[in-house]
Amino acid sequence: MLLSTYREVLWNLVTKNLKAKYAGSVLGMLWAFINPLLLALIISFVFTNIFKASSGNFYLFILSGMLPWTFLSGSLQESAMSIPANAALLRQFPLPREIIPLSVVLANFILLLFGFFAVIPLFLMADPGMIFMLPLLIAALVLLFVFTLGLSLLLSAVCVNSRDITHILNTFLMFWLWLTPVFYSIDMVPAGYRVMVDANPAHPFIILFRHALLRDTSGSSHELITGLMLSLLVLAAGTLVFSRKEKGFLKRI
Amino acid sequence: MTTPHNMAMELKNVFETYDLEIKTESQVIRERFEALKDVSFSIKKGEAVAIVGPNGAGKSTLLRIMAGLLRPEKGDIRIHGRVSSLLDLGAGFHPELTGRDNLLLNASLYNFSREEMHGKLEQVLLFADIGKFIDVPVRCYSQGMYVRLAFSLAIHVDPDILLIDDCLAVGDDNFRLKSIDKVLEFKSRNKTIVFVTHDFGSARQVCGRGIYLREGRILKDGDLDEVVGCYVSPLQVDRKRYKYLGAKIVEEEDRGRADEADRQRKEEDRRSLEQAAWRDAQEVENRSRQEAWRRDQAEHQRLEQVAWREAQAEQCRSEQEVFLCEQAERNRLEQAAWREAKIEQSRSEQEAFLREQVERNHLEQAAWREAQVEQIRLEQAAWCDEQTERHRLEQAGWREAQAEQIRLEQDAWRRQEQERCRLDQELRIEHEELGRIRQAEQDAMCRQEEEERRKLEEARRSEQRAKRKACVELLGAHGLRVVVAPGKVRLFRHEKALTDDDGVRTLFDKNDFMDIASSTASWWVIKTSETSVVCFLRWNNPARVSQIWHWKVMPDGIIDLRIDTKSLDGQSMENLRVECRLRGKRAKDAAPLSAGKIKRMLLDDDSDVVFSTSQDDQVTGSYPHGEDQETLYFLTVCGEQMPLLQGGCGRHPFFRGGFEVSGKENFPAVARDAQVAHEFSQGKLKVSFREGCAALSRQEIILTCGLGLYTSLYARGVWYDSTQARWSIVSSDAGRLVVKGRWPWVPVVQTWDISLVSDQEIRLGMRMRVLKGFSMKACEMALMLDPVYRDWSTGDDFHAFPLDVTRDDFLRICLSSRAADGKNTLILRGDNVPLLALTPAAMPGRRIVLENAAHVGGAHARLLHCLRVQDQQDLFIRAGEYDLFKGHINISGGQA
Repeated sequence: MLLSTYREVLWNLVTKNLKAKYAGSVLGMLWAFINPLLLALIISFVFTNIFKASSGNFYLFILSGMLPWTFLSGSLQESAMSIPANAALLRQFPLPREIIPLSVVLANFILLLFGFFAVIPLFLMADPGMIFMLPLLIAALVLLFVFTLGLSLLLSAVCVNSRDITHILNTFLMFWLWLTPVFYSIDMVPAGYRVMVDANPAHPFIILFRHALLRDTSGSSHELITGLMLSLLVLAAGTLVFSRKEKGFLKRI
Repeated sequence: MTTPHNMAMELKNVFETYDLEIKTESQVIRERFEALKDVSFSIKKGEAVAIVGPNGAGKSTLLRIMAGLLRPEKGDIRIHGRVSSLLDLGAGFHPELTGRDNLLLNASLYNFSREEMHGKLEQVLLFADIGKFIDVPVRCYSQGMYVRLAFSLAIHVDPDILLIDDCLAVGDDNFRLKSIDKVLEFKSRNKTIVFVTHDFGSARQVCGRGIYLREGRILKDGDLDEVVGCYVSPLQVDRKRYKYLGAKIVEEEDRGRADEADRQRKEEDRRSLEQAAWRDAQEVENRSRQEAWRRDQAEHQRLEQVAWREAQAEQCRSEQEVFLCEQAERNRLEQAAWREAKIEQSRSEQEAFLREQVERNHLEQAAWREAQVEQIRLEQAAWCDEQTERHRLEQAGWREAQAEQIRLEQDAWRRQEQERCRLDQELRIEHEELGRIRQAEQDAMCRQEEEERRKLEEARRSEQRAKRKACVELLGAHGLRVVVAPGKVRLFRHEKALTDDDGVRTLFDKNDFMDIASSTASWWVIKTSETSVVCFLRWNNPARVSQIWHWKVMPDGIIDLRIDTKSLDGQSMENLRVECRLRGKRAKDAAPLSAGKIKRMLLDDDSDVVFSTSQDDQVTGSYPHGEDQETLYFLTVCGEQMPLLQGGCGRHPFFRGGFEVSGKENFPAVARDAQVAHEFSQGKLKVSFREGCAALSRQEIILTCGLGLYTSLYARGVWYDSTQARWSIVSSDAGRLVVKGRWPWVPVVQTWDISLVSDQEIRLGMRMRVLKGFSMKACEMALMLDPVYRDWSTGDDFHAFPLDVTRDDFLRICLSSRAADGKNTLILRGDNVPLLALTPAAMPGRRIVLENAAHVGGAHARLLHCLRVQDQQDLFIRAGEYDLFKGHINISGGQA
């Protein structure tokens, strides 16, 4: 319903977001391709030359976690202040408010897709068999998107009333990052702390991506179910909170 | 109740509240603020309503509710048709994107599809009229441009209901007129307009109805003029207080009054016309009714007539009504047309007037500017000329004055400077003089100190070396042997010691110190050969005294001893004497005293040893000393009792004498090696070689003395002369001799090649073969010349007294050249002797030295060296062949 009526608005908002992000730069949207490749290069350099990682493909391992994480954290950071940032827009047009965080998440998602287009050849070079895991990758992407959208809705709604959250968000994200097996494998975690990682809601998604990109089956096999349930749960919660808070937005912003 | 389809908007009992947080310094108070209280009104389709009211009255909230952005807290709102609002102009514009991008991306917000927008873009741009700025990021826009673009976009949406917040105030007059025009066009299309404004002029142009909102309530809803009057009147109270506002209101009122008068006049016209018509109609009706009634009353018979008349009247009435209605309608239409025309006219007039005004302004401004520019230019030019002239004059004057002054000052300064220079120069000269004197003094002091220091150093080193090497030298003749060890000299006859451990020694007194013996001195064995030993002794405490002992075995078996003494600091020594302690009974039988020169020691085997001195009355006595078993006797030769030397640093011969063994026949002389001797000559020139030295003579005058031509090595603190070597003749021609000598104590073999080239020139070639590597300090070829050679001349390269090789107490170096380079020639002259010139060939590392050689053989000879000296440390010579000397000696017959 929302999508059909406001499809064009949403699309324009996304386009505006992306265009604004790369406005004034010479390379423009090319950065969406270049950045992940640069990231891969740097990680590869750091982990092969500085940390002396044993496996040559360790940088792919990091990359497979880094990209989804960048999407998640970037979306959350942007959507936290998205409602106040678009105050003028909401004051002027009777839009469904959900469209604002949705556009933010969508824009980031498109960047994530660009990023994957850029780096998937690297994964294919390392393991051509990976091509058969593409359906799983798509599923992982969809689930991650839904999960992130739910969180973004939640966060953006809450942040209108209590701006304090925006200030702690960066620190929290940093903490979350280290709690998430991005730079390490779940196997490296001592058994005593395994619970902490298991309780981390971002964990199943990272595992899914690892599974799809590296055919790394470490971790449990029911991540798909967990991810699906988690993302739907979070989306429901986000929508609920958002619809409750939404009425007061205009008076607040 | 009006049917919904006539209505554009209905509000019923609408309430709206805000939660406010009032943040004071100490606390936060939460308060509910009621923005709208029980607001109800409805707007018909095609109606234009102005909402007026003071700030904070709730106008914007009301608009937002009407726009559907806010849902009212309480109450009902119904909106029929599409709403577009001009509330926040430019909402959704991103500052980084260009105007065109913003238009395209925001079109969807205004319910345009992208295609529609492309179609309308031209119109929007035309309306916004911002030219090329459309492709510039919006952040670079001026506020006016921004609003114009945003307004253009918003106004080109085609809504049913247009909500306008007070936004037309922005932009220039032209744009404002254009905007109002657009809004009016909107209105003419029967669209609904809600207009929030403080600009009553614009409001009057657009709206007929007004709603006066104050503190969230509707105070007045009705005709705009009334509403405005109502709104303005409470303000009139404050007119005195708000002078400006008051004036504005008066102006506003005046304008309003004029408008109203106009309108009233028109209204009156219309009314009067209508009234006239209506009055006519009334009269006609009345009359007809009266007539009808009269006829009814008076004539009931003529019903047809009445009926006809009634019908007539009825018809008339209806016709008249129709006519009146038509008339009224026509009037109304005409009036409307007239009004519109009027508005149009007034607008066009206004525009024309404005344009004209602008044009006139432009022209006037341009003219004024040109005039100004011209005037300024003229003034400036005049001023410049004036200034330049003035400057020029001033500068000229100033320059002359300056030049004069500078010249004077310079002269004065120069004079002064010259004076000062002169004084300075004098002073400097004085200073230099003083400095030179002081420098000289200092130099002298330095040199003295340096010398002192070096001497001490040398002494210390030599002492160490001497201690390291317990040097024992032996001399013997006819069974009598002298054993010279540093510190003591003992006599032996065969294996039997004649003296006790102290042996032969010298003693002297100095002030209160008794018996300073030679055993406490530092000893150096300076020179040793088969027949002689030269020792050097030095005391540093309590007096600085040095002695040279020269032991020599004479060919007749006598052992000769000479002792020279020198006081280095010029202080006196007392009771200087020589002692020889004789052991035991051997001395028992010795004649205790003999006259003057000779003491005789009797020995066991009936031979005796005679201790003799060549000086008169110097053997002063002998006395027994010691235990019963071995009585020691002293043989003392006394020196002068009184201070020997006072002042002066010369060396003083202190003792001449020796020991001799009697009964020579019993002890045959030690058989010496066969002497190697060779003599050869050319003309008057003759060379006599004998055991490592050669004597030169010309015309029977022996030019050399002592050792004559010889070589020396200085190694391990000892000089080794060529006379100590064993020599053999390799070849001997007329005028040429080649000899070869082997040193017994150093691994050196020397080959001399002496040839007489003419009767004036001797050519010398000396080579040295080192059999085994060893360290040495110096090696030289020396020519000891007769003391009659007194004068000498040299090349340019000679320096006096090179301190680095001077040991001035017995080596007195007169002259030295740093290099033997084949060019320097040493020429010596003397009375009644031929001129002698030594010319060494180029010898790297060699130097030529001319010195007094008084210490050698007592001869005050001149010694010519060609010397190789290692200044600081010993030079290690590897095994191999070396050139010792090459060169020639010229002996010219010319006599002084």
